[in-house]
Amino acid sequence: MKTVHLELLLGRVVRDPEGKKAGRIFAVRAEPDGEDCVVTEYLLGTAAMMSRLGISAKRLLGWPIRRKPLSIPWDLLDLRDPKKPRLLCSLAELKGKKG
Amino acid sequence: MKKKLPDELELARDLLDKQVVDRDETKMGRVDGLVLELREGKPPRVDHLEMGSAVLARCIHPRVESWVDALRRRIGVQKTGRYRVPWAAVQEIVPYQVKLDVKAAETPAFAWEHWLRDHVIAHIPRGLKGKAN
Repeated sequence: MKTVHLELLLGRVVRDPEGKKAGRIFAVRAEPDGEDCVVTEYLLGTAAMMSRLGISAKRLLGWPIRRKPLSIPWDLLDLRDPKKPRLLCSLAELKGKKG
Repeated sequence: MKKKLPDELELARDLLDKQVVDRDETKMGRVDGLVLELREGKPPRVDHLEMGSAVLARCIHPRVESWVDALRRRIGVQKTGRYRVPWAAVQEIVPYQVKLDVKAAETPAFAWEHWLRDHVIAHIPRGLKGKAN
Protein backbone atom coordinates (compact mmCIF):
# COMPACT_ATOMS: atom_id res chain seq x y z
CA MET A 1 0.00 0.00 0.00
CA LYS A 2 1.54 3.29 -1.09
CA THR A 3 0.96 6.07 1.42
CA VAL A 4 1.81 9.75 1.70
CA HIS A 5 2.06 11.83 4.87
CA LEU A 6 -0.01 14.97 4.33
CA GLU A 7 2.03 17.07 6.75
CA LEU A 8 5.18 16.30 4.73
CA LEU A 9 3.44 17.08 1.44
CA LEU A 10 2.41 20.59 2.46
CA GLY A 11 4.79 23.25 1.19
CA ARG A 12 6.28 21.01 -1.53
CA VAL A 13 6.90 22.65 -4.89
CA VAL A 14 4.87 21.19 -7.78
CA ARG A 15 6.46 21.20 -11.23
CA ASP A 16 4.96 20.35 -14.59
CA PRO A 17 6.57 17.81 -17.00
CA GLU A 18 8.69 20.61 -18.51
CA GLY A 19 10.07 21.50 -15.09
CA LYS A 20 8.09 24.72 -14.82
CA LYS A 21 7.15 25.64 -11.23
CA ALA A 22 3.40 25.59 -10.62
CA GLY A 23 3.53 26.60 -6.95
CA ARG A 24 3.60 25.09 -3.49
CA ILE A 25 0.90 22.82 -2.08
CA PHE A 26 -0.77 24.64 0.79
CA ALA A 27 -4.15 22.93 1.02
CA VAL A 28 -5.79 19.64 0.12
CA ARG A 29 -9.53 19.39 -0.36
CA ALA A 30 -11.41 16.20 0.36
CA GLU A 31 -14.97 15.02 0.71
CA PRO A 32 -16.63 12.11 2.48
CA ASP A 33 -17.40 9.22 0.13
CA GLY A 34 -19.35 6.55 1.97
CA GLU A 35 -17.13 5.27 4.78
CA ASP A 36 -14.07 6.90 3.22
CA CYS A 37 -12.82 10.44 2.83
CA VAL A 38 -11.29 11.00 -0.60
CA VAL A 39 -9.07 13.79 -1.93
CA THR A 40 -10.67 15.89 -4.67
CA GLU A 41 -8.04 18.53 -5.37
CA TYR A 42 -4.77 20.09 -4.27
CA LEU A 43 -4.57 23.87 -3.88
CA LEU A 44 -1.44 25.83 -4.68
CA GLY A 45 -0.24 29.36 -4.11
CA THR A 46 -0.64 32.22 -1.66
CA ALA A 47 -4.43 32.21 -1.82
CA ALA A 48 -4.39 28.55 -0.76
CA MET A 49 -2.12 29.40 2.17
CA MET A 50 -4.48 32.20 3.24
CA SER A 51 -7.40 29.80 2.98
CA ARG A 52 -5.52 27.27 5.12
CA LEU A 53 -4.86 29.89 7.77
CA GLY A 54 -8.52 30.86 7.62
CA ILE A 55 -7.85 34.50 6.77
CA SER A 56 -8.75 36.55 3.74
CA ALA A 57 -6.61 39.27 2.20
CA LYS A 58 -9.57 41.58 2.48
CA ARG A 59 -9.73 41.15 6.24
CA LEU A 60 -5.97 41.22 6.69
CA LEU A 61 -4.99 44.07 4.40
CA GLY A 62 -8.23 45.90 3.91
CA TRP A 63 -8.65 45.30 0.20
CA PRO A 64 -9.89 42.33 -1.77
CA ILE A 65 -7.53 40.17 -3.78
CA ARG A 66 -9.48 38.31 -6.42
CA ARG A 67 -6.74 35.78 -7.09
CA LYS A 68 -7.95 32.23 -6.53
CA PRO A 69 -5.67 29.33 -5.59
CA LEU A 70 -4.50 27.17 -8.46
CA SER A 71 -6.35 23.92 -8.00
CA ILE A 72 -5.08 20.61 -9.34
CA PRO A 73 -7.60 17.75 -9.61
CA TRP A 74 -6.44 14.59 -7.84
CA ASP A 75 -5.89 12.73 -11.12
CA LEU A 76 -3.49 15.34 -12.49
CA LEU A 77 -0.90 15.17 -9.72
CA ASP A 78 1.69 12.41 -9.53
CA LEU A 79 2.59 11.75 -5.89
CA ARG A 80 4.68 8.63 -6.39
CA ASP A 81 7.63 10.69 -5.13
CA PRO A 82 6.01 12.91 -2.47
CA LYS A 83 9.17 15.01 -2.22
CA LYS A 84 8.81 15.96 -5.88
CA PRO A 85 5.11 16.15 -6.81
CA ARG A 86 4.67 16.42 -10.57
CA LEU A 87 1.84 17.69 -12.70
CA LEU A 88 0.68 15.20 -15.30
CA CYS A 89 -0.10 17.98 -17.79
CA SER A 90 1.62 21.24 -18.61
CA LEU A 91 0.94 24.30 -16.48
CA ALA A 92 -0.54 26.09 -19.51
CA GLU A 93 -2.94 23.17 -20.12
CA LEU A 94 -4.02 23.19 -16.48
CA LYS A 95 -4.68 26.93 -16.51
CA GLY A 96 -6.50 26.50 -19.84
CA LYS A 97 -8.77 23.87 -18.34
CA LYS A 98 -9.56 26.14 -15.40
CA GLY A 99 -10.07 29.23 -17.55
CA MET B 1 -23.55 6.16 15.68
CA LYS B 2 -23.96 8.36 12.60
CA LYS B 3 -20.90 10.35 11.53
CA LYS B 4 -21.11 14.14 11.51
CA LEU B 5 -18.68 15.29 8.85
CA PRO B 6 -18.75 18.44 6.72
CA ASP B 7 -19.59 18.02 3.00
CA GLU B 8 -16.15 19.34 2.13
CA LEU B 9 -12.94 19.27 4.13
CA GLU B 10 -9.71 21.17 3.78
CA LEU B 11 -7.53 18.52 5.34
CA ALA B 12 -4.68 20.67 6.70
CA ARG B 13 -6.95 23.39 8.06
CA ASP B 14 -9.74 21.18 9.39
CA LEU B 15 -7.74 18.28 10.82
CA LEU B 16 -4.06 18.96 11.46
CA ASP B 17 -3.31 20.23 14.97
CA LYS B 18 -6.97 19.97 16.01
CA GLN B 19 -7.89 18.85 19.53
CA VAL B 20 -8.89 15.19 19.63
CA VAL B 21 -11.54 13.95 22.06
CA ASP B 22 -12.89 10.47 22.68
CA ARG B 23 -16.55 9.44 22.69
CA ASP B 24 -16.91 10.82 26.26
CA GLU B 25 -15.35 14.17 25.23
CA THR B 26 -12.11 13.36 27.11
CA LYS B 27 -9.22 15.29 25.58
CA MET B 28 -6.54 12.92 24.28
CA GLY B 29 -4.11 15.06 22.31
CA ARG B 30 -3.93 16.68 18.91
CA VAL B 31 -3.84 15.44 15.33
CA ASP B 32 -0.13 15.49 14.51
CA GLY B 33 -0.24 13.75 11.15
CA LEU B 34 -2.52 12.46 8.45
CA VAL B 35 -1.78 9.61 6.08
CA LEU B 36 -3.24 9.35 2.58
CA GLU B 37 -3.43 6.07 0.72
CA LEU B 38 -2.64 6.35 -3.00
CA ARG B 39 -4.79 4.02 -5.13
CA GLU B 40 -4.42 3.14 -8.78
CA GLY B 41 -7.11 4.89 -10.83
CA LYS B 42 -8.98 6.09 -7.75
CA PRO B 43 -8.66 9.28 -5.70
CA PRO B 44 -6.33 9.12 -2.69
CA ARG B 45 -8.21 8.34 0.52
CA VAL B 46 -7.49 9.34 4.10
CA ASP B 47 -6.22 6.13 5.69
CA HIS B 48 -5.54 7.22 9.25
CA LEU B 49 -4.71 10.09 11.59
CA GLU B 50 -1.52 10.01 13.64
CA MET B 51 -0.80 11.33 17.10
CA GLY B 52 2.36 11.27 19.17
CA SER B 53 5.75 12.78 19.80
CA ALA B 54 7.49 10.82 17.04
CA VAL B 55 5.05 12.17 14.43
CA LEU B 56 5.74 15.74 15.52
CA ALA B 57 9.48 15.08 15.50
CA ARG B 58 9.26 13.76 11.92
CA CYS B 59 7.92 17.14 10.80
CA ILE B 60 11.17 18.71 12.00
CA HIS B 61 13.51 16.10 10.50
CA PRO B 62 13.57 12.29 10.11
CA ARG B 63 16.71 12.22 12.25
CA VAL B 64 14.88 13.99 15.10
CA GLU B 65 12.19 11.31 14.77
CA SER B 66 14.76 8.55 15.30
CA TRP B 67 16.20 10.42 18.33
CA VAL B 68 12.73 10.73 19.86
CA ASP B 69 12.09 7.03 19.17
CA ALA B 70 15.39 6.06 20.80
CA LEU B 71 14.61 8.21 23.84
CA ARG B 72 11.14 6.69 24.12
CA ARG B 73 12.57 3.16 24.02
CA ARG B 74 15.11 4.08 26.70
CA ILE B 75 12.48 5.56 29.03
CA GLY B 76 10.12 2.69 28.27
CA VAL B 77 6.84 4.39 29.20
CA GLN B 78 5.16 4.31 25.81
CA LYS B 79 5.14 1.17 23.68
CA THR B 80 4.89 3.33 20.56
CA GLY B 81 5.61 6.94 19.68
CA ARG B 82 2.71 6.95 17.25
CA TYR B 83 -0.94 6.33 17.88
CA ARG B 84 -2.74 5.59 14.61
CA VAL B 85 -6.45 6.23 14.38
CA PRO B 86 -8.21 4.68 11.38
CA TRP B 87 -10.50 7.04 9.49
CA ALA B 88 -13.45 4.79 10.37
CA ALA B 89 -13.04 5.85 14.03
CA VAL B 90 -13.56 9.56 13.24
CA GLN B 91 -17.09 10.43 14.33
CA GLU B 92 -17.34 14.20 14.16
CA ILE B 93 -15.30 17.11 12.86
CA VAL B 94 -16.15 20.59 14.11
CA PRO B 95 -13.99 23.73 13.88
CA TYR B 96 -12.49 23.25 17.34
CA GLN B 97 -12.16 19.47 17.71
CA VAL B 98 -12.17 16.01 16.17
CA LYS B 99 -14.27 13.42 17.97
CA LEU B 100 -13.28 9.75 17.81
CA ASP B 101 -15.33 6.66 18.48
CA VAL B 102 -12.76 5.27 20.93
CA LYS B 103 -12.23 5.23 24.70
CA ALA B 104 -9.19 7.35 25.55
CA ALA B 105 -8.17 5.20 28.52
CA GLU B 106 -7.88 2.16 26.26
CA THR B 107 -5.52 3.89 23.82
CA PRO B 108 -1.78 4.63 24.09
CA ALA B 109 -2.67 8.34 24.41
CA PHE B 110 -2.69 8.10 28.20
CA ALA B 111 0.49 6.01 28.61
CA TRP B 112 2.30 8.75 30.52
CA GLU B 113 -0.68 9.38 32.82
CA HIS B 114 -0.94 5.66 33.57
CA TRP B 115 2.80 5.44 34.24
CA LEU B 116 2.64 8.41 36.64
CA ARG B 117 -0.39 6.90 38.40
CA ASP B 118 1.32 3.53 38.89
CA HIS B 119 4.87 4.71 39.65
CA VAL B 120 4.47 8.07 41.39
CA ILE B 121 0.94 8.79 42.64
CA ALA B 122 0.52 5.27 44.00
CA HIS B 123 3.60 5.75 46.24
CA ILE B 124 2.51 9.08 47.76
CA PRO B 125 1.48 8.51 51.40
CA ARG B 126 -2.27 8.63 51.86
CA GLY B 127 -2.18 11.78 54.02
CA LEU B 128 -0.42 13.77 51.30
CA LYS B 129 -2.98 12.80 48.67
CA GLY B 130 -5.46 15.21 50.23
CA LYS B 131 -7.92 12.55 51.40
CA ALA B 132 -9.95 13.35 54.52
CA ASN B 133 -9.75 9.87 56.12
